[in-house]
Amino acid sequence: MNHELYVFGSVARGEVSPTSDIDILVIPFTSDRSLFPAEWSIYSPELVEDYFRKGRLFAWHLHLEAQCIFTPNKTSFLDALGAPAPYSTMAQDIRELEILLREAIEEIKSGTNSLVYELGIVYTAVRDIAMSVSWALLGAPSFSRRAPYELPAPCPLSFMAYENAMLARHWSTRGVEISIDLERTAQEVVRAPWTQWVESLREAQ
Amino acid sequence: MTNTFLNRVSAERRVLSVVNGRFSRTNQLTGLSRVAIAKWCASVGLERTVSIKPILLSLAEKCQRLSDRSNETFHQIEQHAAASIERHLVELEGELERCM
Repeated sequence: MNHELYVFGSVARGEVSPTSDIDILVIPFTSDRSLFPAEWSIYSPELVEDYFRKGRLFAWHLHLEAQCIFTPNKTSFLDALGAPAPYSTMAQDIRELEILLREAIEEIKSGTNSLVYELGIVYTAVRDIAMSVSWALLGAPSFSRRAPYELPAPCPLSFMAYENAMLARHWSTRGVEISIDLERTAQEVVRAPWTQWVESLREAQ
Repeated sequence: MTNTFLNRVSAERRVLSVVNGRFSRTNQLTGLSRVAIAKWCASVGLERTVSIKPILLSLAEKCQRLSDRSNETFHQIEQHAAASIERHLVELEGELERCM
């Protein structure tokens, strides 16, 4: 077996809920990806090393949270890499996540026929914006799904609506169907002052 | 985050729009994960979707490739995946037309 396996994400943080799944990272030392389930995250060692060298946020996520559960070596690949370079692409990441958020909101405003999917994208964008700025605003990156509510400028969405959007994302990606008020959540998402929130996060850095 | 994820979401959105444009919200395809596709097929009817499911699974894989950077020849894969998505979307629309 020429690969390493890691657990990362919510389970590695102990942040579990009825809709939790387990994020598995595979670092294969061969090119045959068909050996692994399609749902697992498969990253070549070269790419992981590149992310660490460039200080990508995902590299910090792995460095701080990934737990090695299998390695054929004495020292795991991630341990051998040490700490990533400082996170340096925050401005670009936030810009792109803001586009993602705006596009999903526009779809919702125009009466999308894929509301579950779009609410899930809103959740992903808001969570990831918060994760990106947490580096600068909290002194240490937060990869918690609660990150938007840990910031000095809290998320302009009620926590209940945010959690509904999270459940919509889990519905899209994990097939976990839960009874949530989609229309009400959508109304709250559309009304929230996202531009001011993102701007206040930029100013606070 | 890279704009590859934006590309993936745009592609997924197009696929969902084609499918969900033909069904009520109670039979919404909620995403392109394997489990979401399986649930949608069960909800709409396994016989009705027998020829649509493989197209959706194939599109799901192509969309995933748009944000999959674990291969060194990523750029070529992205271009290939984008062209392939267009072909499969045409096929999907034809199959939906035939089956619904």
